[in-house]
Amino acid sequence: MFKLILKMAWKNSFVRVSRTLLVIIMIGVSMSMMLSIQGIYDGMVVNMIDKNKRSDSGEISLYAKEFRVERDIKYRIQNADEIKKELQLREGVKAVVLRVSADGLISTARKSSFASLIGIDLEDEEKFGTFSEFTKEGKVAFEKRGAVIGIELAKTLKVKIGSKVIFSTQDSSGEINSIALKIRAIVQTTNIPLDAGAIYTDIKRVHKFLSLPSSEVTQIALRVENEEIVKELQLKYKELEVKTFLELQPMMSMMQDMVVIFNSVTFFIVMIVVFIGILGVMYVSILDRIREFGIMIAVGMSYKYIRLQIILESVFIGFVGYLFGAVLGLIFLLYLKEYGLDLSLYSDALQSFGMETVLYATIKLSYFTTTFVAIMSASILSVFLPLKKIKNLNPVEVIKSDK
Amino acid sequence: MKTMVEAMEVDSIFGYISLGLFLVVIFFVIMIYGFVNISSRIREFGVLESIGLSNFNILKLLFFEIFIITFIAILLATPIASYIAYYYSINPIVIDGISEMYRDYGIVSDEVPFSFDVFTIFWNVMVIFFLNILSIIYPYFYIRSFTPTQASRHV
Repeated sequence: MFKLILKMAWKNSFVRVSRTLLVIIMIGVSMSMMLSIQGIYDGMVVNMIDKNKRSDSGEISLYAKEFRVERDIKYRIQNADEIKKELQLREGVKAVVLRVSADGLISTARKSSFASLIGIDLEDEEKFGTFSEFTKEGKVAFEKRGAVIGIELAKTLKVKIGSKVIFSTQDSSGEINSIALKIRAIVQTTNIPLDAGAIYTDIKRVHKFLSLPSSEVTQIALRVENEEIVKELQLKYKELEVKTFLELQPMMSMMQDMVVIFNSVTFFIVMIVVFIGILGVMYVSILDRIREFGIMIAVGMSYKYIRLQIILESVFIGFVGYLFGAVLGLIFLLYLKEYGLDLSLYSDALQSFGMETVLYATIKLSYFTTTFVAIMSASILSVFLPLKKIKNLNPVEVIKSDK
Repeated sequence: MKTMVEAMEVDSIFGYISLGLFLVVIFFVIMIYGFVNISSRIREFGVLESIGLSNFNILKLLFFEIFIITFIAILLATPIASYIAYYYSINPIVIDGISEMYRDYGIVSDEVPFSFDVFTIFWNVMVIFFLNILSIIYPYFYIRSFTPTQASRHV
């Protein structure tokens, strides 16, 4: 019996081909567009988090206590070389970098601004987060007083490749000191504070400039496979502040939550409209065949079989629509993952928000599973109203009627 | 203020992308309902063509039908939507911590007010109106695919 019901449901789903096709196209187009939007918004945040990790804190960062609040180089990590070696030997640690940073004033012949001078080791930074990938202009190199500047800071100071800048700050002994640097490259990390206020140069040069021993730094950043390691590190380095990425940048966590909320609202609205679409078609489809159902009841077919047939019809339509949407959505997502959504026309605004000018999508399995559940639920729910109509059916009256 | 202007444009683009999705879905639903309505009246159109109505007359008939339905829908929906926008423009939604999160972007308040803008409401109404009018195109061509004799016999 079930086989017969299944066959009838399948054939009835396509009795009115145009109508069914319209519903399938509606589900497919709306689903693919929704997946693309979800992918782009998620991709935007994922890329921001990835670049923030690569350019700054990694998954975990270690600071001297008080440094993050006071931003004073008197709060620095001693024996950084030894700690680095210890960390590198730990299981699950992929890369470790040492950085020295000092806040001060950066000046050109015409302009000046607050900035942070960050001393880095290029080789280590490449392993840590492929620093050279952040380059927007020029070539990342620190030879001959070379320095690399954040894109927004470069705009503020109106400096170009080859421009000279002077950075002034207090050294470790409290004396005002200055260093002349030549801009070799402009970078965009999409980390707003860094893009707006960082100038990078060789860590050895910064050590010398700040009169610091080479074993002392202000930050140790780690790329790790699992952030769980943070608890062990907090116990081991009690004299230091050991923080995870999200603890250091709670804004990113909230931004992720906001995107989830926004995507959920969009998803909900689209599914409501899809539900209304399927409901309309199923309702009319059943009204069209009301005599047919009347005859089926009259010849003794149980209501539960009719109910099953109608539910199966709706599920078939929903499933074919879902398949069409999933394939179309996957094509869109793959395109957006590969080529991105180019918004370079608005590059200034996007850069000031710490975003890339080309937004790349991410693809998650959950996009397809949640949509599948939602569309199937919408399909099943949409037949309840038409089923109510059939349940209250008087077979004799229906068969006698014109329609 | 070039950056600020661009930022507003970017914000608008994201808004338009989401709005575009909603409009596409709504358009399909309107068209499906229009199509369902027409497909159950094929015989009626066959009779109308048999007694001498031209294709243009049928298009006009469809246009007036959708015009009346849309007009009533808009009359009902616009005051409700306008009231919601007006209410939340006076009583903004408060999301605790949003100013902290977006401090770097220059946001200083946790309140997220709606924009109650008559022009925005007007153009949204016009877009919905236009989509409704567009939705009769496919049903119209569907009717035209039948000859009057075929349509009169249509079950």
